[in-house]
Amino acid sequence: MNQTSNSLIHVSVIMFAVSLFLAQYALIAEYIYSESLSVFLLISSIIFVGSFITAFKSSKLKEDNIRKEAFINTSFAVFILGLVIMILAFFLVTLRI
Amino acid sequence: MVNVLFLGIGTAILLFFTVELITFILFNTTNDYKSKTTYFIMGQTFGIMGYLLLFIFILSSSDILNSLLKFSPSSYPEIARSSSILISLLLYTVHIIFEFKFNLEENNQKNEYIIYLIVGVLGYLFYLYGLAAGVR
Repeated sequence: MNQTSNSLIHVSVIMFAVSLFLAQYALIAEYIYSESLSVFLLISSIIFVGSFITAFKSSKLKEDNIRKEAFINTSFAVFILGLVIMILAFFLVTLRI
Repeated sequence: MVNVLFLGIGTAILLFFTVELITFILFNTTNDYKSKTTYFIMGQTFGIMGYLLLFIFILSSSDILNSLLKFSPSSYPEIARSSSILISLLLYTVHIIFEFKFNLEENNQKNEYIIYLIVGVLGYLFYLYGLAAGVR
């Protein structure tokens, strides 16, 4: 269980950096819908921060118990939510659905 | 620019805080220990995400701080919106500090949990009032 929480920490930090970088890049790019795209990406980066904080709390717990498992499950669920919002942002904004 | 930020981030904060309130209800109505713990941790995570977005919200829409700091008289809705959003930020700060300080899902900290719940609901109401007063 320790390895799971460590890998969740790494993955959420990487995705936070990627989505924040894309949000900044969307702001400086000359694109009509850059503002709404960057807002969606900013929201998804905050969701990745939430996933990181939960995974960090789970890595602080020493023994394996229900609490640690609940922390890991929540972190994973929030991470998937961030991914879904990030992909949806690209589809909704660039295809103008 | 300001309108897109205001609408998008404000709606996301409302969504996160509403999910947190729903997990409070679920936490208090189930008896199973495992699902109780999961609900509580889910609520904590969504509360932290909403709190972080609240900072970006205040920084991005600059007229929230401007209407309180400028010397010329500003209209009633501006003052109502900015002051109520700042009060909700204060209440949510207390809420987050309680989360990190106590082990609230244990049974022996009932009083702290009640204070945490009341402060969270008050912060939600003030935030809702701030959004409603800001509709132009």
